[in-house]
Amino acid sequence: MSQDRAPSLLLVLWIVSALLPGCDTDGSPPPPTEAAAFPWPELDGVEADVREHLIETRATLESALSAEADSLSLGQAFGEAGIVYHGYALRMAARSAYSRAEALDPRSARWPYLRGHTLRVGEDVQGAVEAFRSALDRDAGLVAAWIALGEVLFDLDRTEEAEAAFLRARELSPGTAAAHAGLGRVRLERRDHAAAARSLEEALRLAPQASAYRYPLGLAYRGLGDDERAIAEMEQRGMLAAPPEDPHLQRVREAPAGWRVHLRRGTSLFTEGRFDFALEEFEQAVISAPDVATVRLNLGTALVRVGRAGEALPHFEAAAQLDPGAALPWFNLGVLAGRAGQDLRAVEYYRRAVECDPGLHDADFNRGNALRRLGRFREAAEAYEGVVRQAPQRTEARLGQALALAREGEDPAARRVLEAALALDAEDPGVRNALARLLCTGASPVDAPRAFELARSLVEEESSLEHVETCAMAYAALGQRELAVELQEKALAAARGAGLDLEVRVLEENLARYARGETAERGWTVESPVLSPPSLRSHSPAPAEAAGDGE
Amino acid sequence: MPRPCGDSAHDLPCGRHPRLPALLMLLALMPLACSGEGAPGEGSSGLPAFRPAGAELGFSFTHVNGMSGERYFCEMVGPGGALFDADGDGDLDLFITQGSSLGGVPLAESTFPPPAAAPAGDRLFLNLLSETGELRFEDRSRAAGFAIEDYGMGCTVGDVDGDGDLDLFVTNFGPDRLYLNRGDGTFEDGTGASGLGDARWTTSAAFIDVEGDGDLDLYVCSYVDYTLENHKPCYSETSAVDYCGPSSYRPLPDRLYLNRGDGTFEDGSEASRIGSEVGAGLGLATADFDGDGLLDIYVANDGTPNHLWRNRGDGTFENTGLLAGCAYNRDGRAEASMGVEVADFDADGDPDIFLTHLTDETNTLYSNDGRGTFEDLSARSGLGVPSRAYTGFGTATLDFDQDGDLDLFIANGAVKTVEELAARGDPYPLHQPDQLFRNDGGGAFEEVPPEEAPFLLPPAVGRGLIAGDIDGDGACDLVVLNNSQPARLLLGRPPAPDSWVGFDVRSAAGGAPLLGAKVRLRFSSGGTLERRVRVAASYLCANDPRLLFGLANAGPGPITGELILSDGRRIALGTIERGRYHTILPPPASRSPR
Repeated sequence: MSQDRAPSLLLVLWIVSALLPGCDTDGSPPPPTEAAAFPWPELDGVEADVREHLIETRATLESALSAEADSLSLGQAFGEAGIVYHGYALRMAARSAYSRAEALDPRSARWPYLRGHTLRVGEDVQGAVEAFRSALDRDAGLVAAWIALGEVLFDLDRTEEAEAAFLRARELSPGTAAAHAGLGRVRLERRDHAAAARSLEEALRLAPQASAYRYPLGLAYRGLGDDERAIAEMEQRGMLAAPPEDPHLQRVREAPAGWRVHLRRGTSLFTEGRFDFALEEFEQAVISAPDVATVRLNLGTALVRVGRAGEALPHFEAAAQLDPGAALPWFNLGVLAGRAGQDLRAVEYYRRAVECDPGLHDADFNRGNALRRLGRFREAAEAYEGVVRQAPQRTEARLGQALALAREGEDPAARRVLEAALALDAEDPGVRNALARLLCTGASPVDAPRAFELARSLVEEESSLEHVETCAMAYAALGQRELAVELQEKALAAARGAGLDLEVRVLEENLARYARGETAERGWTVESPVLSPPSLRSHSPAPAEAAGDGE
Repeated sequence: MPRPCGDSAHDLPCGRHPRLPALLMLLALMPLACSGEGAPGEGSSGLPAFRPAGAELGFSFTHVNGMSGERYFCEMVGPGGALFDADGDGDLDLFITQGSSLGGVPLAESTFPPPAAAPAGDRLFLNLLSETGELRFEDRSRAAGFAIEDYGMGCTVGDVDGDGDLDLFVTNFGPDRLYLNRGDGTFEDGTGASGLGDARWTTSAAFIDVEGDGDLDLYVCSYVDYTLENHKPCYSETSAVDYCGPSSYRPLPDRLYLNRGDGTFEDGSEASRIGSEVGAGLGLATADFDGDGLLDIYVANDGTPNHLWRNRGDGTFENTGLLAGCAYNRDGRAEASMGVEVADFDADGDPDIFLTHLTDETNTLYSNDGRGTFEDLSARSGLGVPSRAYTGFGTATLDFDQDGDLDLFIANGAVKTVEELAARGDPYPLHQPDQLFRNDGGGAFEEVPPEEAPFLLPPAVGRGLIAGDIDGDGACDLVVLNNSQPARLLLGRPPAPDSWVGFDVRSAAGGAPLLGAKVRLRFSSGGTLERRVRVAASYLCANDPRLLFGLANAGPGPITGELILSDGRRIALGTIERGRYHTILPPPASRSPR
């Protein structure tokens, strides 16, 4: 612990303790009554900006104390210091500062409220309950405090009290999704699944982006016996909640910090799906660390995620230049190039990415896609093969490999690949569709009955244009000309209705073949969203880390 | 056959397991152990429940993690270990994995150099438990064949080659190793021919007969794709350099190795679908969660969804964790799962799941409804909030008060700098106290305060935790393995002779514990108690497979027993004598491989 300011601290705390008896503590924690050391944070190892910030915070506080300011001003000074410490997750120092602020500034709900937040993540959750109650004694209209109180009571399994807190929050602010979500979780805990589902649905109606409410909603549907809906909700789960307006916590989030802290916070927010907030953090980080590759990479990635891909390019280029041995900048450059239709450049970027990190099979996968779009099917198949070698479970890569091989005219090899993919996942619609087409097209259909079975099951599951077209191919291969024509005409009408000109042309060509009693010549005539497997989508840009572990 | 008993009040004598013959039928109940009188004044709720022991018994182990300021990720993960009968003399020997130097910095120059003259490499402490119950260990590591300086993580035990003794599989930060037991407590490195030398970072492992063909297959958890070569700096919230978490690296798929029947293995990860999902695997447990008679696999992943691999009975597995409700906690968050214990905490006849987690997360209890569907009861059970301040790793169930229900012990130790400790100048500011929770019998827990449980202190950097009755006195003993610190041996307070009974359920061939088999006791009062044979659990560890029942609340009347095998067979065990172990060797099932 840094001791360089300890002598003045003793004086300061003695002054504080001398001032405190005059305060109306109003049920607040007892004020410091002895010159005990304030838990000044450890400064060793922190970056220069943070060190400077913490030293400045301490100096400001000491200055306020030595000026013998009135208790309200001292309370403010302690509280502001607490906000700084809280921002750095220095909870012990923050708690201590908030406690003093709470005692010295007895009317403000802010300090006990923020103290509650420093306590709720630690051992003293009961202390958090008391702190939030103290905040509400001072400001009963603080919706965020009712929500926070409800959440900690819920953690303590005090569901009735939690419910009362959420109800009060809902009463004060009916549009607050978190209040409805809290009620939903309480009802879920009571196994009242229908009521839980209603509350959580309402929360999601108010805040459709709040992915954090999806999983409990899924549990509610599971409890109601609707497994299909349960899985659908659970699969959309995320960490994005919809808390009420909270200017107090917002102050903590906005406290100045060094680039590493901004980077860490930004990465954490990115993981939670809060891309706009993450972007702000990365923008702060890049001001003081423009030459750190990770900062540039993550800033670029956040820009892409908020729909400003055009601005991301220079940051990815800078990241690649600053750290040419890192794979992700090259990967992200590849994605941007691919999206811009510059597949040749994309291929080169992905190659660099794989060179840097041979385990980054997403790069090989995307390279395969780009090569396929370029018509370089042999190379595409090799790229996909690289993915399959490293990640045998990736059926989408096997599918890409098979399509590339089929386009290269190597149907037997393509079939082997698809059969292997099917063995891994017998229900994958992309693989089944591709195999069905492979089995019923070309010069010598090899297994039309099986193709038809696959196609029929696909249409039964989802009568998409692609599946209907496959089914028509299968009918043609089976020699059932009339059925093939009938189905193809339906597909054609749907394509025309949707304005899919390219697909219309292909469908018309095949329709003519069926009418003549011929089979479809190839399963994949053009690269289009309809007539190529929908699962073959390139993977999105990635940040340096998936969570807040830093660089 | 009965063995002579001693009568020491504290170190109760323990029966010695004979070298087990290849019996092909149930050998009724072979009395193996006996007990003396209990310590004066002890009762079912008397405390302290454990007595720290160590050097005076010949046991001394200090883990080294090789740290030198670079904060290599792997420094934070070990050690693990196993309690198993290495030399076939019927008592539990102790194996512990050891770290080694990293990044070219000799251990002597590392931040916490090992004690002078401390041998390098994994350690094997043979238990020299005497006929009179006197416990003593001897470090036989070198002589036993553990001379290689790997960077050890975890281990598991099983008879991989069917020769009747227990072999040892060790996971490493680096290539794994298979040590084949020569039958006398010495081992040879059989890695080369076995096909098990995975060089990725692996952690927990478990032997499980996936194919039902009578030999042991092997499940190995893989962590992340971290290597010293791709090491990078990570930062704390204050920007200080700190250890990275798993999200800084790519999680890896686990592997399932299929035993060819001769002790060599082929990689069955793809065919079984185990390799189809990735996760930062740390903890591992096996149980029949859905009651279909097949052993399923549960993997505790660090920061990624946990996997519940449902055994489909055809050699393939399906990850049902999402809908089953045990992949994420009740908030839908993938927690930083470290250790896992599977037991019937609420005594309703099915296996529940308990997981240890990072500071700021709660430990989590998933309660099973008997069909493999789970509900997160962390808050309701009382296990959630008290764990928030700590990072839990190893965990073990035990009935420390012999009241018949399963209590919980948790080894804690932080992975990120603890602000309060750093402020106090702690040179290794990761220390946290261990925790003990008492079960009320219905799955609600109460933390035993440290003043009643002084053995939980001083705070340490807990990782692995191994449970087993080392001195054969009917009380579960614990070995707490601390990172970069001495291990702690906690000897359970000997119970009164009539307040316990133990079972050793093995395959008819005599070597392997019969995983998944259950013993159910029925009391004259009408109550029942059930325990399930398992080895893999906790964190990086393999536990004593024997079953211990606390009988303090069983009443004085006769107790009858029943063995329930995973294939559904039920075998009556007759009236059970208290105060000793019984060995059960059920006849093999006549079934073809699945």
